[in-house]
Amino acid sequence: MTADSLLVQFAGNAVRFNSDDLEILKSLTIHFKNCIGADLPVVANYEVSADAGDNFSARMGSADLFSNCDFESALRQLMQDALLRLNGASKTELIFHAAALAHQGQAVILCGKTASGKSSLAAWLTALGMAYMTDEVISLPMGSESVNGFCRSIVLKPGSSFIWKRWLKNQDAEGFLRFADNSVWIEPSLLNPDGTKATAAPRLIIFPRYEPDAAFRIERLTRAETLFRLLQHLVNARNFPDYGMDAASHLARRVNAYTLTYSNIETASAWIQKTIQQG
Amino acid sequence: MSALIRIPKQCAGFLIEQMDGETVLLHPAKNIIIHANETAALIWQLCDGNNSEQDIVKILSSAYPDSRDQIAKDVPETIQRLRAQGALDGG
Repeated sequence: MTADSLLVQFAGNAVRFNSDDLEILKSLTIHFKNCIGADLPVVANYEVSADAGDNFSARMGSADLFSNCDFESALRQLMQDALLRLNGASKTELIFHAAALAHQGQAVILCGKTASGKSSLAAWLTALGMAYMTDEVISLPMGSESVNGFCRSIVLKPGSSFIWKRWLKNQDAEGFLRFADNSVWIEPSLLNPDGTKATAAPRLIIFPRYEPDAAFRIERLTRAETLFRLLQHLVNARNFPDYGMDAASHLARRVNAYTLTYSNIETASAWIQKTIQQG
Repeated sequence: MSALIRIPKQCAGFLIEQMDGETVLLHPAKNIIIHANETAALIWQLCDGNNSEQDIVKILSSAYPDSRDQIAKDVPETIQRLRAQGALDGG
C-alpha cells in the first residue's frame, strides 16, 4: 500500500483503490485491513475522487462506476463492486456465499443468502470468542482441504443493531462505522481482540434460516442434500469446466451439514459452539 | 381406445453426482440443480427413453414386491416432478 492506494485481495486476485481523498482511503483500509494483498493479479483499479462538496465519484479505466455520491454510499458501492469483481475473477478457487468462523483451526461454515442471518450469527459467535473469517464469502482452492474467508468488516443491517448494542464496548472506535440507516460495519477485532483467521479446515456446514417466532430446529442433511445446497450457494461455478461439481461434492462428502432454523440467536449460537467444541 | 403410453427420457446435458444412493443433477446451461432422493434417483435412472411409466412401475415392483402399492403411486408422481424440474423429456 502506498499513501494513496490500497490493494485488497481474495481468492487469488486483487483490486486496487486509488484516491486523493484520505478519509475514504482510511475507511477502506480499516474495513479491509485483514484482506490487504500483495503480488496478485489486479482485476480492478478504482480511481476514487471527491469534490469540494464531499461528493464522491469513482471510475474504472474509462468507465464511471458512480458519481456524486455521499461518503456512505461511495463506501458501500466500492465494497460491493470489489467483492463482485473478486468473486467473478477467480478461476482457481470455488467461492461460496457463506459466513465462516474458526475454533482451534476448524471452520464452521454458515452458508446462506441475504437475510438468512449468517452475518448476525457470525458477529455473535465472534463476540463469544470464535475467530472471525468472513460474513459474506469463503473460497475453496481446488485440491485444498481448507477454506479461506474474505475477512472484511462485519456488515450488520439495522435489524441486527441489538448485536452491537449488546457486545460492542467502544462505539467511538475507528473501526465502528454507523450509517444513516442504522446499518453498521464493525472491524472484527472490536468484538474479539484476537479473533480473526484467514484459513481453516471445514468441520461443520450449517445452512441457517432466521424466522421470527420459529422454534429452534436442527436437521442433519444427507451428503447429496449438502451438495445440492452447496451448489445453490456457489458464486463462480461458470469459471470451472465441471461447474465446481467435483470439489463441492468432495466438501459435501467429508463435512457434516445441518439446516438450522432459529429465532433466538443465543440458542442458535450455543448449539453451534457446542457442536464445534465436541470435535 | 388404447391408453396413452408415456415414455419419459432423461434430458441431456446434466452433470450427475451420486452420493449414498441419492443423486444431485446439475445442468449448467439451464442453471438447474436437482436433488433426487434414493427413490427419485432410481426412477430417473430408469427413464432411459425405452421404459414407459408402466414399465418402470413393473421393474421396481418386481424388485420390491412388498412396496407394490407405494411404487404405483410414487413413480408417476416422481416422473411428473422431475419433468416439472426440467430433468425429463417425453411422455
